[in-house]
Amino acid sequence: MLTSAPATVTLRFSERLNPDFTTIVVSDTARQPVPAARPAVDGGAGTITLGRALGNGGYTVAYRVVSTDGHTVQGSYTFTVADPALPAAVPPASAGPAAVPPASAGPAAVPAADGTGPGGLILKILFAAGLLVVIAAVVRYARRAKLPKESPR
Amino acid sequence: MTILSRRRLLTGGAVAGLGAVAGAGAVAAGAEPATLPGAGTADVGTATVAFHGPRQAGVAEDPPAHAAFAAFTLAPGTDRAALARMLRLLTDDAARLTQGVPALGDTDAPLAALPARLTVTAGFGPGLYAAAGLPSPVADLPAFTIDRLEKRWSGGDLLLQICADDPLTVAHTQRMLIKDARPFAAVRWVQQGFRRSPGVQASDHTQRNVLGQLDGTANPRGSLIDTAVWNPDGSTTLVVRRIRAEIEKWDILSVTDKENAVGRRMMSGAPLSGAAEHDEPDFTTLDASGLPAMPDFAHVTRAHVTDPALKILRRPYNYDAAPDAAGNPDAGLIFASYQRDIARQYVPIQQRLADKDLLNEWITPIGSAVFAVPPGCAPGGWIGEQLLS
Ligand code: HEM
Repeated sequence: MLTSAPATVTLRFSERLNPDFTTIVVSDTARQPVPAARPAVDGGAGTITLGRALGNGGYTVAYRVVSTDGHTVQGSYTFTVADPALPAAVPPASAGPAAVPPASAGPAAVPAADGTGPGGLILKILFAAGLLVVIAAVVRYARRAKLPKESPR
Repeated sequence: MTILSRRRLLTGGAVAGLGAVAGAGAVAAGAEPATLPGAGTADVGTATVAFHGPRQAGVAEDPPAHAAFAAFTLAPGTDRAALARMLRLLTDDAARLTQGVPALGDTDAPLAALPARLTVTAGFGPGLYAAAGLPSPVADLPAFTIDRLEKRWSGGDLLLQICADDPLTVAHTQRMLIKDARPFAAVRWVQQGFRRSPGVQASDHTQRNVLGQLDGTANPRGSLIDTAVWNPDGSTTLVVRRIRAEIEKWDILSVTDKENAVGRRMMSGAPLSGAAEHDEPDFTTLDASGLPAMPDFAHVTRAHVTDPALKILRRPYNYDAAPDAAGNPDAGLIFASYQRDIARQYVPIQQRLADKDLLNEWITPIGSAVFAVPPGCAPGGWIGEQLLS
């Protein structure tokens, strides 16, 4: 839960991202995408800047990226904006997050949760104070493994 | 030995006859539709495609199983009169051979007897127009960042596309045509390719390519071929790209990875936004997490064209040359594309694919050539006569 709405969402991966093959979408509980420019990529980090301020409510961050050897990796997380200064929202629909990130109190990034998915996907979710949501996904699937790269939903 | 007993032999005889039959049934159930035993293969050898007409053959028909693309470099000093002599000869050869009649001076006349839907299609490269002192309607493609073009597979003043349902027919035709072109032109490259043999599958079933993908689903059909391919005068244009595929790397991918690269299901060919092969891809469909069902980097997403006048007719053949000593395949597509206008139709698609297409991780263009395909001719006429006489 975030006590103020984020303006950008950053996903951090253990491999360099190819900007051509990086998709990040934030949608609301009605599955309407929040307008955003194409992700800006810096090494292993992909950042989208949201085109509008998020109101209180539940959101899903979904990503689809491609590893250096061409595997598609995709997944999603949910987060909730609950800003006491904004009108209350309808509670978010079921959409189970891999790990529910707690709100962060201070300005420092706080490691929130680790989740291990099928295919060896390890996810670290960090929330920085206020305006920035950082979701780091450490992609560590074995090259030999041919497991379907499914995301924790 | 019957198939059944061979099967038992392979399974060490431990499987009872009935079990083996049931097993065979189960395998067949998940496989692709094949034609019924013996259906439709009887006339393969004698089948012909008309040579004469306002449009050249070898473009709009279902591609036969085998093809040779032979490109030539004109001998220095070949002028308009020499071109006319050459094309009269080649037209005469093609008119005969496609109808199962030996070429004049055919040293292996019996090989001409089974044309097996033989077509010979002539294309003119920019160099032929230059030799004739005429402006060329086609120009080499611009360079694309994905290109790793080799001279041995690129360019050409004249192209002969030879297609038939039988490889011996193609070989014989290629030999006859090269023999008659020799006084005027040197062989620049020859690319030989194949598709499924006739009778292996129902002819309306989309074929798989050497990468295992159903290839040809979104091609224009019926009257839409006219819109995309034929100019009012019966001419068209041809792009031939030799595209090497890293098949062993491709094969390491999971089925899901392959589907994301193409944007279609491997088994059914359905777009990831739909359920059946011929469902129109819908690029606005979102999956449960909000991602577009058709990945924005998928080949189909990038290549898709909606305006029927801007589509291209893809007529690719597989190639599979000898592997190297380490067993690495030398395989890919001889990607042949017909369209009215290369600059208007082909180049924008190719540019989008060069800019972004996940499939590029496994495919590399190593050859490229463009040709204008002049109208066909009436009996007694010759290909190129409107231009050169
Ligand atoms: C080795 C190289 C290539 C492979 C393996 C390949 C494979 C495929 C496959 C599997 C499809 C989906 C099924 C279908 O509609 O046929 C497709 C569609 C398509 N491809 Fe390719 N392709 C290759 C190169 C190219 C090139 C060089 C172009 C053009 C510059 C191209 C243009 C298209 C177009 C226009 C479509 C149809 C898209 C639509 O409207 O749905 N392809 N290709």
